[in-house]
Amino acid sequence: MFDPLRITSIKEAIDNLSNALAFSEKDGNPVLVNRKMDELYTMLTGHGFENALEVWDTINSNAWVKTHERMAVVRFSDGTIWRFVLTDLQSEHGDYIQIDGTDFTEIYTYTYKIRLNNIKLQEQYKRQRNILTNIVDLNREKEIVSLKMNIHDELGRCLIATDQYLSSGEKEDFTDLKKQWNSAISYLEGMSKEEISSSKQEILDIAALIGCTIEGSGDEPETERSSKLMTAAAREALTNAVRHAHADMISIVSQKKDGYYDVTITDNGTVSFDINCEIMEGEGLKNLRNRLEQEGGSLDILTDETGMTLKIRIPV
Amino acid sequence: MYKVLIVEDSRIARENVENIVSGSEGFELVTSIENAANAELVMLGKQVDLILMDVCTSDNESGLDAAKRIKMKHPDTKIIIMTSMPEYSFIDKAKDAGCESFWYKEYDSVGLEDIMIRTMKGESIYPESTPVVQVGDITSDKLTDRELEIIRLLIAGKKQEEICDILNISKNTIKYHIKNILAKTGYSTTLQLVVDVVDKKLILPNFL
Repeated sequence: MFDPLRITSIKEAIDNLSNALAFSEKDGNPVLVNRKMDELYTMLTGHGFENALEVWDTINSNAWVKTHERMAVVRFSDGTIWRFVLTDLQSEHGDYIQIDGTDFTEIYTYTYKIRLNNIKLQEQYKRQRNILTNIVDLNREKEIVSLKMNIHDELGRCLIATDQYLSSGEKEDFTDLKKQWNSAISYLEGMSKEEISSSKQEILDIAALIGCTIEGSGDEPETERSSKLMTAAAREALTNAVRHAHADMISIVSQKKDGYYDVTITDNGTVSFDINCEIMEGEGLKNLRNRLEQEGGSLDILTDETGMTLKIRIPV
Repeated sequence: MYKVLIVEDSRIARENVENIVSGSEGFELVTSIENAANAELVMLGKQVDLILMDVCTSDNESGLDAAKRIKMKHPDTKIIIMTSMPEYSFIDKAKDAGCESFWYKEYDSVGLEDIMIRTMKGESIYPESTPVVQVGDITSDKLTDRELEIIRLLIAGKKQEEICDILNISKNTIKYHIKNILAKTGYSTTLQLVVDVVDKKLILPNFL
């Protein structure tokens, strides 16, 4: 026999809980349902709690989020959000079902805010990436602007000095003023020239400067990445040809095929290799090999009595 | 005549430096190039007594890395590092690489010609400090070396655990430093801090 006083006390106690709570027998017959559970269920269906299994079905069919079959999140018409969990209980008096509801409104509000913050952070992150990528270019632009301002000032000074010279009426020495104008004009001439140099052109110019000719033929790399790799390969080949083989001509033949540029670099150097001897890779060649392999390309070094040939594969 | 090689990828800045070199008595321009990695190539065929080396050169080649390699092979060639970036580590890196002198393009009160002459006479001229920039509520000189080191690692995308390993300090110490940095600068997140530090070029991610 249950003590009726004790049952009332228990009911009162669970009614005062902020959670929604219901215990029932295995067939769904309610044993103990607290006020909050009754209120929520009434809000959902228009009538009170009758059978726990039906209640669970109703909760499930109204679920807003459902992560697994014994848990459901329901949004109510008053704007609150509740999470319900179904648990089987076993005791010496028999088996029971427990439905427990927790107010998740605040948690969901915070989750929503976090989601919004995450979007904001993503935007900031994008901005950061952008700055990281462009910082050097941005600074270059700043340097150019600062130089343009200098030229502007320089021209201003020339004009003031000329004005003074002309208005003074005296035939003073014109040499300094002329020098000042020449310098300002040479800056101006430089400013109007187009920026035409490229990595490839620089290598060709340096080769000519140090007395070596580069003859290139075949397909030219089209992307920035492949172009950079080709330049790095040409730089290394030129270094080796001049430093070790005393060559004055290197030939670069490139063929675009199956997603790669197959590049063969030879020189007219005087160093010959024993076919059986293994070439020692210096730091430069090692770096080039690493760089090519990182980008999905490759480097093969072939040696024979005519010298060294670099066989390079660069992804398109 | 001292033979000078200029490494500078901005054409207008390059012409400015070329003008300074050609206007300086006792100095003769060998050539100007844009990519620091090509400097050694020039030296294969030409005598170079002095290199005026920019830090951030074309194709993202670091002038400091190139200077280090050159100094190993050509210890007699003198190098002046030139930059307009207030990145705080450049001065130390230039010293480590063995470069004789260092010139801030925009901030230095000393002219390049003066530095060139004194460098060739055997002097080593370095600015006393990096240009000071504003980071949030404070100026960059209020950040300690350790704090800058941590910001650098954050910019490199390192997690707090990784920073602990790299600097060999505890997670609590990292947290303490980050809290201090944010309190000083007035930023609420490390992301805001990192964006500002990079924006001011106090730390350059491509030249870490």
